[in-house]
Amino acid sequence: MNREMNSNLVTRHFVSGRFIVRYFPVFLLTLFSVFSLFTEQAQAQRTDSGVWLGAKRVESTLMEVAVPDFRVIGKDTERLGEMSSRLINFDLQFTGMFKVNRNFDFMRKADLRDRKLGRVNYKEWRTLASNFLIKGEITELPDDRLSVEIVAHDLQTKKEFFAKRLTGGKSVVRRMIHRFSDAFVRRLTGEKGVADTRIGLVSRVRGRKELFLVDYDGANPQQITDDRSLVLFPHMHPELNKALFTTYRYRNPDLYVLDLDTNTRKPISRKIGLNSTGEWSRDGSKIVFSLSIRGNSEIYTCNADGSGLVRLTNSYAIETSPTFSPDGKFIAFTSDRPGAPQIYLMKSSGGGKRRLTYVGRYNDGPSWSPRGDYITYASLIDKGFDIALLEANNIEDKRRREVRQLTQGTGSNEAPSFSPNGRNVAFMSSRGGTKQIYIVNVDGGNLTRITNLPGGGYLPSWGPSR
Amino acid sequence: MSRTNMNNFKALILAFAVTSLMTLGACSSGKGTDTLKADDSVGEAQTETAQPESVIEEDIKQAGARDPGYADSSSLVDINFDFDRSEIRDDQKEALTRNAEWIQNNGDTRIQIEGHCDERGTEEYNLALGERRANTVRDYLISYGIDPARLYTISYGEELPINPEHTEDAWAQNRRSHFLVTN
Repeated sequence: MNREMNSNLVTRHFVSGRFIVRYFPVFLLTLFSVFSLFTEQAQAQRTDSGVWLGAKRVESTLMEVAVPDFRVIGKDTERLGEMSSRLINFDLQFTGMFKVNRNFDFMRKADLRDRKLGRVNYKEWRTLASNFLIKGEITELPDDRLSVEIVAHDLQTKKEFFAKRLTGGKSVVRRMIHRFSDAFVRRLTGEKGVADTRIGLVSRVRGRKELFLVDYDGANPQQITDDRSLVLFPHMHPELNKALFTTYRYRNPDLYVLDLDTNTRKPISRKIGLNSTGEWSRDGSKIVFSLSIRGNSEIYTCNADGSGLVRLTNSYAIETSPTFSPDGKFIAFTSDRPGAPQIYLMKSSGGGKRRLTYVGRYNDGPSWSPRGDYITYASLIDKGFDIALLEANNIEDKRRREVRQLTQGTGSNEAPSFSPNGRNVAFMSSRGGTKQIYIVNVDGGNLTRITNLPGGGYLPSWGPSR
Repeated sequence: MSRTNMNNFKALILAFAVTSLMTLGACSSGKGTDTLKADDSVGEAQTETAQPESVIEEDIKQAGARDPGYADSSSLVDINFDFDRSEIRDDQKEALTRNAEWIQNNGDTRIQIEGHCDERGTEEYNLALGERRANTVRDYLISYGIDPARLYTISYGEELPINPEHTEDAWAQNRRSHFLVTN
């Protein structure tokens, strides 16, 4: 699938815009809204356990957008026109920056009137959305591929603001739409979106946990391993199409790296005992993981090829679940030296160890935001686990950190993983009966279940843009 | 798959079969009530199976944990643990001593000591806790006088419960060290 994409997907910009100047106020407003959420929280409730509850989203600062069904030239047997507009809506809403119009019947009629008119009736669209109208057209090419042309109209200036043409096979039509969403958002805010990312996870196949990949919205689940034993703790490479994981295939929990393009694997660590919870540094040069040689789990680092093993912890306690800070200078990890697991910090050389979490009686599974502003982890606050966010700016500064809760007491919520732009978190939750994967914005908005896999969804790891 | 010997995984398969049945049973229950669910087209499921990997590292020389030929022995019983603990409980010492005697009297065997946890707690921590349980048992057997070269440990964390229910009784059964024998 990936190869088909690379060879067939052609993108072309054919309109440019003076968008930054025009939308600078919107951009500022968006930034402001993110900050205002936190100030709002400061005034909001604090639970008995001393954790801030997530805040409501600020609706008034959202950009309004209308996306009618795409026009499909030819027979639309697969309802691609409808699928495309819903997908853009999903992508844009999930950024937390847009309010999408769902009056699809009205939009269909307005679109037909535009076609008769031979131009966009901006006045009419302004009654549906105040900022953007996004129209798309899908054409089947003679070689069976699809050409997708998408134009975003600025309803304020009544002009085309941004447009893209994408070409590719039918199997990548969702990716073409996701690519547009990312490009549009990037044009508007300068920030990289997550619409064209994938999430690694494990799911059961005939009872055995295997590595899977899904699109960030849960579409296209793909079984990657067929180890027929036990696969745990996938971690996606921050840039490359690779995954680290622990497999019991060779009768011991060993740490492997899998190249997802070639489907070839190489061992990183396979000592008798645990070789688990591996994560790359942001630049991909180092791997940090937990290893137990004769007994007790400790934190080690090594180079990306498994060479240069360095031991960083040495205690009677269990140390596990390490994660690098984005600059690679620090490692957050779990230690049960206080009697139950808590999140600790150390320099990536192993020095300066100190405890970070004092709220929650059992904290584990830290994931450091690529922006550096938070460490997220699973926290046993009330009955089940909830996803917590620990404020992590200037982590060398030893002040006590504020903790926010991303989820509140519905099922057990565990194994959080930050998206590559640090704006979202994927986690697993049992709230729907079985364990499945959910995604959420860091402000607590747009909580969405993305998988409904028969074998469940466990241990997500959010991968990079493709 | 050349190395997979199904017999070795007898206990494992049993546990997996039970858990997978449970999973299937639980699957039909409810959809979430999430914000973006209105978009039905998002999240359509089409499972593709990737090709099995073409390159497999085959460099397995260590004996023990990776040898084929493991079996349950009716003479060796599970040792149970308290929640989040890895010490040998007083009420488990007699059973463990009987296990030790059997292992001592069957000197031609190798023993795989498994560590298991209940489903509470995180998968990461439970894997390390299971390892610690297995090693506590191993240390006990060594102090009894058993040759360490005959003993191998492996943790399955919370992944292989023998009782898949979500009750105190089930959890108590699942917090265990299990013994497998190979000749």
